[in-house]
Order: sequence, then structure tokens, then C-alpha cells
Amino acid sequence: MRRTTVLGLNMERRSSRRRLVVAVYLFLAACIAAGWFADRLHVSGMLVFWAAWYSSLFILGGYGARGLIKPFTGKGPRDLPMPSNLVELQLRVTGALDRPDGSEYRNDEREIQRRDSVHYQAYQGLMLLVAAIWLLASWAIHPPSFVSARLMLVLVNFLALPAVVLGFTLPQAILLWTEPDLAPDPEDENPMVVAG
Amino acid sequence: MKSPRKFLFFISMETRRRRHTVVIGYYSFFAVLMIFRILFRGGPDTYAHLLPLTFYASAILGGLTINGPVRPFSHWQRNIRDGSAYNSNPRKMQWITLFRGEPLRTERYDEHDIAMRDHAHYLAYAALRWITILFVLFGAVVIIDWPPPRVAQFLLFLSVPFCIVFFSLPQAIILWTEPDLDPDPEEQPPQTVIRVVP
Repeated sequence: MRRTTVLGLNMERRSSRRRLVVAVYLFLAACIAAGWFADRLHVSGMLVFWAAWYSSLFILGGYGARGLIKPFTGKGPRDLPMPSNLVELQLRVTGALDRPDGSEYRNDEREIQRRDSVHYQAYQGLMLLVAAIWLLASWAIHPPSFVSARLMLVLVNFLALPAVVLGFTLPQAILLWTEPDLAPDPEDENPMVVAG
Repeated sequence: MKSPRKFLFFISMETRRRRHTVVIGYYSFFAVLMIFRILFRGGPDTYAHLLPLTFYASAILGGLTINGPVRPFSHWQRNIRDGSAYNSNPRKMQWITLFRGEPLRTERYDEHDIAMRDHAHYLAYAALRWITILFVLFGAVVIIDWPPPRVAQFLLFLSVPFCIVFFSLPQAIILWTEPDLDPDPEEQPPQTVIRVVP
């Protein structure tokens, strides 16, 4: 992980990150439910898509230079982020503030192994969902005797957007859910008192 | 690549070039099938009948099943004991072995195999993510004014190529990137130990 705070909340503990993941998915589920009852996700589906994408970019991270998780590609942002105060702005204008160190975004072997592992787990989970959508779509073509083709199409439309939402967020969610508590920064610990 | 099979329908899979040919042929076959289905079988409605074929055809490359050159993904972390490598009845595995004509490999997967599997899934996930983003961004502009039945028909039309790629992309990446297989030690010619000098 790169950052330890999001929206001002400390995310060093695993329990905090799990609450964040649950909160993000509850928010997205509420958006999907609201969109479904509003217009069957016809136009509101795009808003849900943007909500999922921005949640992935700015809160969860991984795909992008912002968010809790380091970029999966190991590359930093191309442009410097907006300065957070006037001092930083003045330093940047005078050239005293250099670009962020690329090593800050580089993944080590353990992070690469974790990245690949969570993507495998997410792919397997999404495969079940896509297989369910595939089965419903097949039944929509050749509907069985106990259900109508129209209901199958409705279910396909209902499951397609959640599949997209999960696709944008599932690897990061698995990573944030399973990573252990972050070790405290050694610089923040109390210095040892040497007896004179 | 620790593959349980070195042949796919009598095609040798030991060299990278052969595996590249198989992957290109696999996707080309489906592309041609879709084009023919659209042009000569009544239009996009009947084209959607290809959907069930996408999952079953992915078994050709392996990964999801015990068939195919790529070993099953889900068993790469199972304990392998006494020939029941796939948590199946050993007697059933014997019949499958007889049917396939070669025994199933039962050694455990090492770290390289697991890392290769996971990395292939990461690459496939990243590629499919971009495809989904492009479709939602540009496709939504096109279909936003369409009535729901036409939208459903369009989604069925796109679901076939998506499922073809989704169910087979990790296996294709593994087959494409793995180096040539080492020759079987039993097949190597015996080395001369003693050289008779006249």
C-alpha cells in the first residue's frame, strides 16, 4: 500500500480497511438499486459506472496513481498532483520541488506476487458471475418450459452492471481485505532515551 | 510450461511457435464463425446461438478443465495424493487416462507455475478492463436512445466475443508466453560414455 489515509480516515488497520470496502460496496449497491427503480439502469447505469470507476481510482487505488493501493503497473503519475498549500505551490514554481520519486510507486516482489494472486482470485469470482450471465443469455435464446425468455433478458440486464462494478473494484477490495495491519512508521515511534 | 499434454488434437505443443499458431487459429476460428453466422444465417439473432459454444470451446485450451494443454487453474494449490490429483475417484481417473492415451501428471505445482498462472490472470484482467471501459464509454453513447429490446439484442451480440475472450484469455497468455518445453529425458539419444580410440 502507498497511502494510509482516505477521506481523513486512518487505514493502517485491517479492520478499518474492511469497513471501507464494505462502505464502498454498500454505496455502489445503493446506486444500482436506485438506478434500477428509477429507469431500469437505462441512463442511470452510466452514473453507476462512473461511481464505480472513481471509487476505484481515488479511494481503492491500484489502477491509477491515487488511492490506497500502489499503482499495479508500478509507475507514478505523469503530472504532479495539485499543490495542497501555497508553500508547496511556491516551491514548485521556483523549481525547488522535484517530481515525486519513482521508487515510491514501484512494487517489490511481494507486492507483485500479491497483485497477481488477487487478480487470479477476482478473475475466478467474476468467471462465476459471467458464467451465470452466459447461462441466462443462453436460456433467453432457448427458454426452458418453466420460465420466460423476457425474464431471462431482464436478469441479464440486472446482472451485467454489477459484474462491471465488481470488475473495477474486486482485486483492490480483496487486497485491502486481506492485507495485515501496516507496521507503524519507525520515525513516528518514541525515540529511545539513553541514560546518561 | 508443465503441461499434462504435449499434443492438442495431434498438434505438438512443445515449441512456442506451435502454441502461437494454436492461439491464433483458436481466435481466428471464432472470428470466421461469427462472420459466417452473421452473413449467411439470418442476421444477429441467430448469431447469438454461438454463446453456449464459447465456454465449451475454452476447454480446448485447458485451464478450466482437465483437458487441454494448460493445467487446471483451480488445482494448482491442491494437495496431490496417490493419483487423486483432481480430487476425483482414482478409478475414474484411470478410465480418463485410458481414454486420453497418456497418464495424468500428478506432481505438485511449484512456485513458478503458480506465479505464471497468477500473472496471466493479471494481464487478462487488465486487458479486459480496458475493453469494458471503452465499450461503456463509447457504446453507451450509441445505445442510450435505443429501446430496451434493441439494447438486449445488442448486448447479446457483444456477449459472444466477450465470452470467447473472457473464458480463454489467461490460457492463451500462458500458451503464448511460455518458452519451448524441455525435451523428455527418456527421448534424448543416449550419450556416448566410452570413446574407442584406435
